[in-house]
Amino acid sequence: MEFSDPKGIYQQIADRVQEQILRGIWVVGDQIPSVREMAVELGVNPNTVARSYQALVERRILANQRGRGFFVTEEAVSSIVQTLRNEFLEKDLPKIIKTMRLLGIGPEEIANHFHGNETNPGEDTDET
Amino acid sequence: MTSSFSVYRLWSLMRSDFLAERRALTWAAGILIFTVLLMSLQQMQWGQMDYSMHQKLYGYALFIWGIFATSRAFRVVHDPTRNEAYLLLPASSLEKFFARLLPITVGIGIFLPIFFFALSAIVESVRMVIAGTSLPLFNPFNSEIWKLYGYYIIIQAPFFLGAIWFRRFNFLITSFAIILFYLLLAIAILITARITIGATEWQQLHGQNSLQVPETGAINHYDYLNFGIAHDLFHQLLTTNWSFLATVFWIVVALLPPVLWWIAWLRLKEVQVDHGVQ
Amino acid sequence: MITSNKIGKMIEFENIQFGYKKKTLFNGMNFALESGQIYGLLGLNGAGKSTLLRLLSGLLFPQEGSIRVLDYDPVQRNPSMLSEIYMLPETPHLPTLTDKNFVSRMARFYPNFDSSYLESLLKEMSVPRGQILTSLSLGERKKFHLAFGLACRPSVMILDEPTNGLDIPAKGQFRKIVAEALAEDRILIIATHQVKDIELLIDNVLILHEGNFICYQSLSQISSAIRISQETNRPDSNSEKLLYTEPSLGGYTAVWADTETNGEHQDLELLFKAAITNPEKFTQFTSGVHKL
Repeated sequence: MEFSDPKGIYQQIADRVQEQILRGIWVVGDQIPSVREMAVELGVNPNTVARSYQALVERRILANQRGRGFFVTEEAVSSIVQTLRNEFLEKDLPKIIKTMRLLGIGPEEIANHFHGNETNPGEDTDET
Repeated sequence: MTSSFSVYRLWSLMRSDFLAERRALTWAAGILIFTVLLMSLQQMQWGQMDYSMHQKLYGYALFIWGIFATSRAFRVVHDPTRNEAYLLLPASSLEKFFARLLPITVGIGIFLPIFFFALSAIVESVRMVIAGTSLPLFNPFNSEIWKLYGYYIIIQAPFFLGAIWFRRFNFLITSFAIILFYLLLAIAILITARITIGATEWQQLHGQNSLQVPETGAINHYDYLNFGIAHDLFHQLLTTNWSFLATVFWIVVALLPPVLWWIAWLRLKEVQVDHGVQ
Repeated sequence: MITSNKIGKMIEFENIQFGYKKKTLFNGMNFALESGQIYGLLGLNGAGKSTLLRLLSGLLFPQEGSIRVLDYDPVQRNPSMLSEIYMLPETPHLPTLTDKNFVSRMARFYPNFDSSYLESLLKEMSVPRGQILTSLSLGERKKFHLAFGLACRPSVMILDEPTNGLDIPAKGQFRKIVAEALAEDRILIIATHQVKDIELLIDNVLILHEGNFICYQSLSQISSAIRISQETNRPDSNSEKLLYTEPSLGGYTAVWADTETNGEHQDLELLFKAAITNPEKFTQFTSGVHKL
């Protein structure tokens, strides 16, 4: 896995965990890889992984069971979706709208693409 | 394991050195065997018998091999590619010191007599078969052998110190330093003798070409280089207590190796890596 | 497994004075390194990185001040301390021995030596076995030495330019192995110019410049205090908050001192360049960021 700068690695590790949960690879109650396993897999500092996990625990996406490891909570998916939704609406959407305005693309054109895409077999449509 | 000395670590160090030097040791032993065989063959051919051949060869081997090995004992310390690993090796300076000192003192002192005894036994039995005659075997318990060994230890010590002290050419520098030291010592003794003994005896001494001080004879108290200091004491020492002086001399000589070794150990403790950045 | 006395300050420099001949390098240096952390020691050639590492391992003696490593004075070269320190030099000068003979000679000096760990590391990095070590390539020798050093299970592991000579897959393996090697009772110090290779590994950034630390901070803290931006026009170099700027594809990349940014903007290479291009300004900036 390559990390794109300049986003902090610790944020990227958190993103990765969230993506795995969203895609249903890790489901509620699953134990996710330990800090050490994750650090070795990614070749990053274990302390950084620990900080990422801690941040996810604070957001109630993960639960830390002392001595046993980190588990996916029941509210994980909804919490992630909520955060990502907000992020999308606040950060990404304004950029898209700005570009649309620049290029003269109207909402109808986007809607057509949006509905057209839905009929295609997407890779994660069956999960969400 | 105590922190500053453990027999296990000392043994590990010597084992490691031995494994590293295995090839060089095999070569040295091979050259020795070859030389002894060659000399025996030569003697057989000429029909001459040198009854102390083995003992002489032992002496040469002891000094040449011993001093050579001594001069190389701390090469690793002066080698910038290896000294860091050597200094970081988990063993104390004392262990590292003994690991290098013991093989070239005790080790060689035990190995060479055994080696020469075995070698002489082989060579002489061959000679017996071929020529029908043989030389006496090398006797490790001959007092001459151990006298030679004593001299070796005395001479080896300054070279051991030189090996740790001087970065390069330590054999040459040490040899030069020893010669220089004895020259200076001789000059100092001569000057002291000249001042304390006085002109009359000096002439007598000079004439006799030795340090034998005459038993009798007037001592010129008013000689211009005679300061009168310790005059009588020296005179007495030189005339009546010659054996006492000789004893003092040998005590000093016998103390020299331990003192030089000790300085070498202090030096090893303090050695730092030379660093590219100046 | 973990002994409590090994956790906390493991290395401490107090008022260290050191120089070569006429040139003073360290003038009253003070710092402490804690266990369970990976430190990236950065600096240009001649900045004092190697000298610092040699002082802490007892290869050089300070002219003044005191150094404590695992509660030992490195100058004493206590075997117990030495067996807890492993220094991997940039170029390993391994003896003309096979791997097996090397291990049988050396491992006995390290009471914690773990031969099954060595085996697994050598396998993981696919180091050829049964050969004379000097006949291996530089990369293979470095991998072998790294594996051996880690298998000695030292408390202090010093790596000098560990990724120099490693190919790209080996660099990936290196990161995994180092990540795995970090433990609560251990310190890893990586001195390097190859800033990119260790960016993901280190907790703390120590940048040496002319014998002084111009950066002595945790990477996350220093990363939170900067902002990296892409500018179309060259930013005003007089701007107080501008730490560094360099031409990039779309214009200029600028590094700003900006604690207001949210999140970490981590680019160790830019940070390092910023530090050595303008040490005075950078020192001023880091003095405002929480130190280790």
